[in-house]
Amino acid sequence: MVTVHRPNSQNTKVSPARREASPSVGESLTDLRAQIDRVRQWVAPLWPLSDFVAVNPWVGMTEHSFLDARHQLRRVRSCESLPSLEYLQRELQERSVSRQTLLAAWEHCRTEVPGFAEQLSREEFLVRATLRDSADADEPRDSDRRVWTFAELADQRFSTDYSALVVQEVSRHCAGHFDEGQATWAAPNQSAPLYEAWRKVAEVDRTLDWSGLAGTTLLVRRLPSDSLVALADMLRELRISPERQADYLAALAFSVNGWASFIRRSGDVVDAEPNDDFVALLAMRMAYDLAVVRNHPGLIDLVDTEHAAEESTPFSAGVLTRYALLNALESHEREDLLAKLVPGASSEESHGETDVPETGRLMAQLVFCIDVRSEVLARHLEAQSRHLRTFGFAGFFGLALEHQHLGGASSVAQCPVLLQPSFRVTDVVRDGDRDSNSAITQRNWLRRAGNKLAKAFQAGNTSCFTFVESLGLGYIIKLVTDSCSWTRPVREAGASLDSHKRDAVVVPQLPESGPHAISLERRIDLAEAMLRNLGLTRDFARVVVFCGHGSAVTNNPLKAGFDCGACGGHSGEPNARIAADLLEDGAVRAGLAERGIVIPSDTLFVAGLHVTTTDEVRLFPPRRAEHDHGRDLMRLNEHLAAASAATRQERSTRLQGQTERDLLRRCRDWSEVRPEWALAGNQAFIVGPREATSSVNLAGRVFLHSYDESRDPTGNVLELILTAPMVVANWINLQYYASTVDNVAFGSGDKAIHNVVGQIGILQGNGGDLATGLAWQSVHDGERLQHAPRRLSVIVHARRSRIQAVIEKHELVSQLAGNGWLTLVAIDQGRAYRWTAGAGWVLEREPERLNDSVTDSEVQLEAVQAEH
Amino acid sequence: MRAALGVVANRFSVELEGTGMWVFEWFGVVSALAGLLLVWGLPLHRLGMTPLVLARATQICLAWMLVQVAGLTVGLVSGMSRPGGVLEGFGGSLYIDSLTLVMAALISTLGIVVARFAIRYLDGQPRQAYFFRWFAFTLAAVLSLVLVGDLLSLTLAWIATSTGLHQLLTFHPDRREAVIAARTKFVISRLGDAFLILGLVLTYREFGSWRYDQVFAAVEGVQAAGRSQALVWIAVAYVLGAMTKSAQFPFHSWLPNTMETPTPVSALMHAGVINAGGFLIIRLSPLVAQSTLALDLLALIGAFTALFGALVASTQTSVKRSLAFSTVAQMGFMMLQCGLGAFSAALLHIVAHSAYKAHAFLSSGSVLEAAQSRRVNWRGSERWGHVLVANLAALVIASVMLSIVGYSFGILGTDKPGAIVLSLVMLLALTQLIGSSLTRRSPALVVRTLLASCGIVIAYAMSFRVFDLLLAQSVSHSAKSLSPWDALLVGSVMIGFAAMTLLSIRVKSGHSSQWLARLHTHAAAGFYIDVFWRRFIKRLGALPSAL
Repeated sequence: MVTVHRPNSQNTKVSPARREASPSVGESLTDLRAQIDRVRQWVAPLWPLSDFVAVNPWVGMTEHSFLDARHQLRRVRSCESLPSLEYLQRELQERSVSRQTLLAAWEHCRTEVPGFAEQLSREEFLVRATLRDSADADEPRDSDRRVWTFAELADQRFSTDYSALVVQEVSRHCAGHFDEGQATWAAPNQSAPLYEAWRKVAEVDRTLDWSGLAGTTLLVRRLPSDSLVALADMLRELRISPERQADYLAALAFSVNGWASFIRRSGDVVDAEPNDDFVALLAMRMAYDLAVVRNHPGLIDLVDTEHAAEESTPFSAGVLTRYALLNALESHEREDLLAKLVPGASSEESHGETDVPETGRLMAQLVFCIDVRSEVLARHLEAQSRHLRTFGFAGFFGLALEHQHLGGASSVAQCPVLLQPSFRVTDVVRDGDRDSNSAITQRNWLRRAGNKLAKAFQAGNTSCFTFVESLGLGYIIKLVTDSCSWTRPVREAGASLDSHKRDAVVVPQLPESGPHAISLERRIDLAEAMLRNLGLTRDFARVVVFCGHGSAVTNNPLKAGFDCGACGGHSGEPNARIAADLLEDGAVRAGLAERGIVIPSDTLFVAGLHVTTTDEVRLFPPRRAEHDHGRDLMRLNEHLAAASAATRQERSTRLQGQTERDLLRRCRDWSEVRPEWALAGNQAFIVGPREATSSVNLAGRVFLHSYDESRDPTGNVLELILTAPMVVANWINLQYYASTVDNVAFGSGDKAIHNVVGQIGILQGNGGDLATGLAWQSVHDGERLQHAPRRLSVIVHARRSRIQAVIEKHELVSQLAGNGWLTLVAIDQGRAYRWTAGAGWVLEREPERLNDSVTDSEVQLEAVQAEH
Repeated sequence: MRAALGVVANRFSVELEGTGMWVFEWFGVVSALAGLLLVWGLPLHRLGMTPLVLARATQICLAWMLVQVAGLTVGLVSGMSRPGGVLEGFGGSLYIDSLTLVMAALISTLGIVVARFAIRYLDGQPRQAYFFRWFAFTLAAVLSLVLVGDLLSLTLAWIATSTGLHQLLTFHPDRREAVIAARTKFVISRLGDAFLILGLVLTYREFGSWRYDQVFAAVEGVQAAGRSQALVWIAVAYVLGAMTKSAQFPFHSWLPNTMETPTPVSALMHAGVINAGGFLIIRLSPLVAQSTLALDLLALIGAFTALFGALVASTQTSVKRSLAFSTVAQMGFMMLQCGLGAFSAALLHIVAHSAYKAHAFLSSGSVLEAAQSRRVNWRGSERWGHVLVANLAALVIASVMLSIVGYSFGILGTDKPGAIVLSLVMLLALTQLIGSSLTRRSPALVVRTLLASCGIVIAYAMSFRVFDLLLAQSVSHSAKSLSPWDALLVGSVMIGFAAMTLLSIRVKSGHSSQWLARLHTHAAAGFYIDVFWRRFIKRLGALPSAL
């Protein structure tokens, strides 16, 4: 293969040291770094499988409006962020969206999107909204692409296969570098920075040289030792002008979006100082692009012509139609929701004291996670007795802790991923002395060490053969027992103790002494913050339950996706238990009393765990047994059992005629790809007192966060809610949205071909890029979507001025609400107002669907259609 | 080159036909196969049958097959029928002996488990019915392959197997990678067909028949007639055919690239279909064992494939690819056993590996949970000197253990073919296991490891004895005497395994050097075999254009 060097490529041989010396070059490197940082912002972070949490794929683009972000992204990446017209039309019809709603949506878009009315007249919108087999169907995913990688250009031009090839190679190197133990022989230089490690490998690896990209190893050998300098050199050889650099870098980054996301997170969040792995990834990818160009020098000119032809296109009428229809569907459903919410809570005077029934004190108050799955259970629980009251609160209960299992090797962060754990909790044997603790620790260590040796024997280079001949036959039995769900493929952690015994014996504990000790002052602070943010500062019931949630699934690498997102993709058990323990501490209670929160001595705090797959609730044994709480707990357990059954009943109807028994099967079946629907269907986030929602069936689609304006004089609690839990809900919502709307770009495809890589991520099939987002099975049941793609409606029971203050103080909140990433609605004085960036608070349309029958509007629409 | 070799018992010349019992059983077996073909062929899914019905029907057919296997086993054990008996009827013949029954039982059991798995795992897939139809077809083909009584039918079943598999590999026809992988497999399969057909033609020319019983009975005559050269070519043709099917180097390349297909297909393929090559060699052992060249070829390629596969597998970062390369290695080891004449050990390997690998694939979603269950703060030293001493001590302990337990169970007898190599591999395995426990400064762990090692040796001895008894009458037991060439071969195989063990100990103790890093890079790339296959396929023009 002839390698063509362009004249300017001669310059690239200048040594990096000399280059750095020249100020102008140094300046251009600073520019380049700024460009890279911009690209990095566009890439959403991705957490490893064990801490997999939902991420808004457009998290770095919220400064743009929803449509602008779509357009910007589509210039450099083949993707889609609007539902298809066909889907929207079907939904419109199925949900009987009225003509008024359509027109209101059009009107709203007109104020929101500049130039909307010029592109899409009202009449045309109405026609497009209903016209089937519309001639201009949805634009393809790559119709707005202006910037391509050279590998893609070569593929288009010469029908080669370079894109898949180089993505595969980048992915292979990254997998080797970030592997956490899948390969028994780990890649060399794992501890070195990515760029250095990659160069050592790619200097030797012949895969690309022999796959049509001759000279790749040579190219890598000649790269400067600094990744940024290397990027600058390569950009020059590729003749990418400074103004096109950011776009080109973005196209490169998105061509390996999964690894870029993974690296984005490891560089930004985990390490104290951000590392250069992101630059390294771009350098790797660009080196391969350069290899393509060196083998096909004509490609560079191709880009230049394309660049000249580039122009900014306004949104097409088709796109605007889809956007307006999405708005219409959202506001239609929001109207439904508001209609249920507003008439009940007629005025704000009703807030506050009504939660105490005439008989006096409540029997129990239960604090659940804001997770949409809690709503179903809470509703059925409150239906059991008037003496029960539930709260919604972020499932880590404000305790940013890291938790270490007994005898475990490392600890796990049990808090939202954007927080750093601030203290550590370890499991101990309850009432155990040092000996019993160390005995159990030793037993655990032995079991883990034994497992490790067994694995080494099973996977060893020569021992694997003996392993098969000696123990292989036993797997015939294991196959049968696993198939029948009598056993699990891997024994559950701590399975040596049955769960009841384990709950009673092994407890997570705040360290009271030692290096990680937490002072009494700090404990009181934690407890006070928790209760104040929860709005539970008086009227304590006899029993208060902190109920975390976790899932029970088998053989599912995406387990963390079913667990509590607020606990970093883990079970909320340790947080719930620590929360209850904190408030059971006499000294803490005394301290709280000094600060104005008086907890009656007969109030018992208990921890619980809501298993979302089976909807069972397990209460952990309380610390003390005074004041005759046994009866309360027994009754509470009965109510919980009844509520669980009712919840399962409701959920099983969603699983299309499945029985309750089938639901229980799902958590044990090793072949189950849909153990539960997790947060599928989420569409709203309601902040307010439970009384405002308790009489309404919200069908498991709503995040509920308790908030009582009257107990928040400073507005601090509201500020916290709108900047933390609301953002988390927004991330979850948009992850489901994106995975549903474009599963190829934002989801992880077919679960049946998932392949766990490096114990950190998922590949699809033979390899390719790391997958992000949700599997298709998580949002679709085979016949229809289980998640209706809608942006989150945030409904806050508070005065507009209060919310306005938060919006003005926090740019993120105003961006999310103003740029169409969510809709913010205030319920103020019994009326609903929607916040818009342009016009501030706008009264939401009163629901008037009853006067406007659907068939009527359909007829009208058809008439308009006929006119055309 | 003279084949040194035992005699094939004249039992194969006995042909049983016509008794009432045989007819009954013939119908039993054939009805199970026909049932599977009906699941495949009838447009049940168009009649509104759900995929679930297809799955259940497949399971019922397989269960029915298991009943037949049980019946035939009773017949064999009670002496009512003779091993090597041929069930003949309507122009087709079935060859029934313990090898057949073991394989049929294995395939049926795995089939039932995998079908059960696919019911939920592929739930909601638009092509679930398609999957079950071709699943049934492939199972019918593999079952026929092990049941039929003549080489012609075997070849047809062989081709049918790869046809069925091809359909399953393109479960996602819109995924370009899937199509490329399936086409690579297609080309290699056709190569295998060619070898098999060559063997078929040569066999007919030499023996005038394709029936196993007749061929096996005539082997001695041909040998005596001084036409052993012809036997060599026949054996080599079958060996090459088997190598393509059982993913031997360099024909292994298709296997690791089949992850584009849903996990149940991987389980079926790695556990069931891939054994066809090994089965062919074991089935034809009376014939293959006549040729030292064929056996040496098997041993050499097998050993190389085993070491190659194990090395590449240890560098793979994704669970399914590690498993696939581990299958390559295990198939290599199985072929090595065949080449050493240890045919019953090879069958043990097939059965045990199938069960293990099917489980490993189906449970590959648990890899994270499993990794967490062994996350531990290792104590102890990683210093190379300490590690070496520990492993030397472990070598001594393992030798003693193996000698005592091995002799008392009679698996170390030098009369067994290939015993030296296989014992050495076992010794190396135990050394590694015990050695890594010795450096951990935990007496409790050492004691447990020693107990587990004893258990492993005993389990191995028992499994081996059972299969030896099982196959006493079904395979060639010709003890191979070592020629100088053979000694060289066995010697280098042993050195290869020892070197591999040393490498693995060195790597595990965290040492690195430039040449190790380079070796890792090439190994992680699979030594570029796949690159060359892709170029070859591309040159053939068989690569799909952009999808």
